[in-house]
Amino acid sequence: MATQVTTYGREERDLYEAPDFDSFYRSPGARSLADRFEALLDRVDLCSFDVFDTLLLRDERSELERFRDIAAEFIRRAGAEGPESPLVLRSCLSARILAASAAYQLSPAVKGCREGRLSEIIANAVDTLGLPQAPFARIWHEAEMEVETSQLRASAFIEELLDLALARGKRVVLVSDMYMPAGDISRLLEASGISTGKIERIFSSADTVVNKRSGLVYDLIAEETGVAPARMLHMGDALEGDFLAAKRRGLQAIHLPIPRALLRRRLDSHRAVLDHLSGESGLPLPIAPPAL
Amino acid sequence: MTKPVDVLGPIFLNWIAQLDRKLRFLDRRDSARMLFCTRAGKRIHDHLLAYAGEDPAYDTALFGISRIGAVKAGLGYLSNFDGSFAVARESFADAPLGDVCAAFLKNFAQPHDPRLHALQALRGPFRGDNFRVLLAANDDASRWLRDYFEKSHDALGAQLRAELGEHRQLVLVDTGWKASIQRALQATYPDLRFAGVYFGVMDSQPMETRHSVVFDALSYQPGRPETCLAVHRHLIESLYEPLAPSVEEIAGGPCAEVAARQMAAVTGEDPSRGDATDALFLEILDYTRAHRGDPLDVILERGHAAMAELERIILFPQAADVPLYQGKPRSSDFGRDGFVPVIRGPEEGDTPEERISRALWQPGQIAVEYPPAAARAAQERLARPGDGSSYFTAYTGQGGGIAPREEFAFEGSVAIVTRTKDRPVLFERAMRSVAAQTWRNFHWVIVNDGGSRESVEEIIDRAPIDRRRITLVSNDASVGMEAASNLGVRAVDTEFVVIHDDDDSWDPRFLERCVGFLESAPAQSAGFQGVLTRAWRVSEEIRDGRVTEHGRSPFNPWVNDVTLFQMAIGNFFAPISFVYRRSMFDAIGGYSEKLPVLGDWRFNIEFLARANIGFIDEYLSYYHHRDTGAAAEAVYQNSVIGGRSVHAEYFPVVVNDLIREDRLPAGVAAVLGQAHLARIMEHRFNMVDTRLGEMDARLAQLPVPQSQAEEEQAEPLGVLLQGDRDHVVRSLLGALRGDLPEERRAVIEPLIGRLHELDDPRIREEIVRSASFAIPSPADFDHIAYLRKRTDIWATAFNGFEDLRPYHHYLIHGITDGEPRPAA
Repeated sequence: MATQVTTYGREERDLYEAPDFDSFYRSPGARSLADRFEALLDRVDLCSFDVFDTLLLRDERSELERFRDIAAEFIRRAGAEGPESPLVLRSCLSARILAASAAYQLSPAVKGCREGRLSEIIANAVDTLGLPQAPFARIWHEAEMEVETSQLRASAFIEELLDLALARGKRVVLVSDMYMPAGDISRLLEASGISTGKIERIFSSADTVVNKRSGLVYDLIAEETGVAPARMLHMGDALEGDFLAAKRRGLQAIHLPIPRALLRRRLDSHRAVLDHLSGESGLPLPIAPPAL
Repeated sequence: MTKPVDVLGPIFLNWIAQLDRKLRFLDRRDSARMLFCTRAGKRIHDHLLAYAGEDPAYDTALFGISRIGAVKAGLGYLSNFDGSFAVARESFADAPLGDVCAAFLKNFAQPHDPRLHALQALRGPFRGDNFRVLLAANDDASRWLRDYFEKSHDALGAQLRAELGEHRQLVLVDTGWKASIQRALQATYPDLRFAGVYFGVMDSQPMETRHSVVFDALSYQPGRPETCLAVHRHLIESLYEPLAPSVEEIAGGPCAEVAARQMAAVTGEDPSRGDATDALFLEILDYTRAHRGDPLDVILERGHAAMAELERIILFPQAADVPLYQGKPRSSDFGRDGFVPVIRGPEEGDTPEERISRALWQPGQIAVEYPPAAARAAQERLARPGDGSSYFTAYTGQGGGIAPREEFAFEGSVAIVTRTKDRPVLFERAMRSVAAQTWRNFHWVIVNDGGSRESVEEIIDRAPIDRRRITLVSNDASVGMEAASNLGVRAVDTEFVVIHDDDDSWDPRFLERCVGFLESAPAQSAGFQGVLTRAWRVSEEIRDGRVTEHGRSPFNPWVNDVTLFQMAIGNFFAPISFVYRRSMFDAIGGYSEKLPVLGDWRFNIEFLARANIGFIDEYLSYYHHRDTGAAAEAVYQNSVIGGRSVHAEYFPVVVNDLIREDRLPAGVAAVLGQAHLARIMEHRFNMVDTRLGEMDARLAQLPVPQSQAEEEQAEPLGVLLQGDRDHVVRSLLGALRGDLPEERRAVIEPLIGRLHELDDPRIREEIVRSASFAIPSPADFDHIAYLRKRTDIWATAFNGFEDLRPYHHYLIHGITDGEPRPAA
């Protein structure tokens, strides 16, 4: 009698335990991940990739720190327009986060999904600060794009997989649960050196409202591309949206978790920004810390 | 002591600032008219203007509406009967139908109107079926009531369309809780788009366009200070309640003048003429005006800090806090007058417990009932949620709470061991059961015990389960159930263990509830090292590779706890319902591998000899049995169903081995000995029960004579009752004596000589049809009950056209049809 023990998810675990993305993508584990990807390619007609923290990598700054940087950039740019009263970082940051919270709460639901849209978030933040929409909404949008561009970089490893899929004659789309519309995401990709010409379409939940978390965007992709879910392969960092929801919909899927050490650094960043923002008492902004 | 405005001022400023921001968002996204629902809407509107200035960035209006107003509109044309009835029922409960009608018509009917009297005479309970029949009836009073609702419906619809104008949506603003007005209006006028923004929401029914600003919770949630207002929402209602009655009538409706008067009273109210709560509202307005220019972040920060203080005050008030924060007495709505006190005086209720249970603010009532130390203890008990799993995580005012854990933390991790062998249909179902768990910190260990590895791997590949949480142990030959369990449990390191056989399944909350229980402080102090849930027994069969369920019933519903003595008598739960600490597995040494069956029973006895097992009184697991269908394939049988004789064979082996087991306390052998006697007695009882059951069945087949008393009491069917005979005769003779038009007198006079023949159905029909105008429905005839039973006459002349009534139908047809006479 012989007993064999198979532990699943070895590559996923190695990536999760790696100090950062690059360490893993340089390791032998990445090779076996690529082999798995290649083997799955034979079974599919279309590959879809998540964008943020998959094809475009974020650094160790938390979302809160990024929003703070955006608020600071907005103040720097808006200064030239001479607002009636001086803009304060803490107020601008609060306005941005509360506007996002309102957008996710109040936007009309589509099939039970709600998504915020950057243009509406910015409009509400500008209103809240008592500023006129023109020119401040445009300035805020520029600040968002500027900061995002400076903090994102392309993942060479994932781009290689994307190119491999294209070389094998597969169709390639990108899918993102994000408040930015496809046009903005496309600009960020180009700015990071990824040509969007090779990508058939970018599905952003800011446009589709239905999202990956609900799994409904996979139905939409199948409908719009004419490819059956079983003939699609999706990969991304979010366990729920990129892997579990895709599997529930019948797709092939690969989960690429964010390294825990990186998440810890983002958590430190989140806490440090909150500490810095504390005044008479803690500033209770409705933004979740990175989950480990 | 901190003044109430120092606490409530920042909280209310933060709420109104957020409300302004959300209304701007809704309007910018889709042009909206903001309707502030009076009564509370009047003061909320005042408050908003104090913050946003006299000219806010969106269109606002005061909207004279109340729950009873929305209900009346929904009853018009039965456009929202079910929703309206449900809302009305919340207020009227089992009040007689007549009282409900009177409340609806309070401002409309003249006191001496006979139609009102006719409606008030309806003493049956206010139920949906009664009420619907009443609204469908065609007698004068019913038509009159229906007309009132239809006019209310038309007027409110016209008002809403006028308010909408060129906008695309109507946004209702109110204090909140269930948003029943929004729900009612949306159902009544489905062509209009409604959204709602509320101070708070307390409702389990989802509603897509209902938005809370401060909190959305059914009850207080530890760690979320704002939910303290769920304990004392009356404070919010009270501060925003104008000094004027509710607007119960609809502008432009059947009581337009009353509506205008009610609305004027609300809009013209002067809070400075009120009590301390109204004065506090004015202080909040002053605070808002003084701080409206504060930066957003400062408003947010101060509001949050003040909420922490309000949490302390609402949950753990001292006696001195109570008059400051209780608010004014709650005024009744829904057509009723009067007030409900927030804190009950000593004269209201016999005991403090009674008064506390009826108080609108229970912690406040406790503070005035008991000395400070006892009050604090009682308030702490009240602040804890009833859910045992979070019993000790509740707010105690002392800080604390559980820090978030990492995704793969050992604490709270569960090994789920699934043994399978060539049962892909069942194994796939088990995979779905594991994948659906809301508790995600598990490791799923599949033990393929000598079956096809490929088919197992195929199902694993399809699994929507994090691959890092899956281990496959594959034996090329079967090692048996207990050895397979041991292999699985030992393959990973987790805090908890559960055996999930490939043929069973769980409710998605199973692991969450079990782990929550075992991690709770009370469970740990009671020494619970395992926990059991209730289970459904599912009867099913597999045919052509598909599972067909034939029924489900509670499995061993008598189980309410888990004792060693009961376990010694026999195993009474399945592994699928039982989660336990791994340390117990290690102490016992795992499942006994020499047993082909009953290994789990032996394990459970050894477990209980060492530690306790808790019990969750919820049906969270499914114990499946392929006990139906002659064609069931052997491979899909349960060990329980398929191997009954093996169980009997190994029963004494387990008992004898345990008695000889020197690692166990000596008392275990004694318990097993007593259990043996208990089993003998149980066997005897079962035999007697079976015999009694057989005798009962035989007795049930004998004819049962009706008792004499029953026969005497029952009204005869199919014949004219003496009371009705008298009523008809009296009515016709009385009509002749009265002031009757000649042509009618001419109809009745020839009939008088035939009244002695009323028992003849044909003659009775002739008399009743000819002279129905002179035969009213007697007061003791329940025409609604009759209509409910005889739906065939709803749209006929007998439903009130001209002079015919349901009573006449009864006299002409009902008696001969054998209908019992419905008494009012």
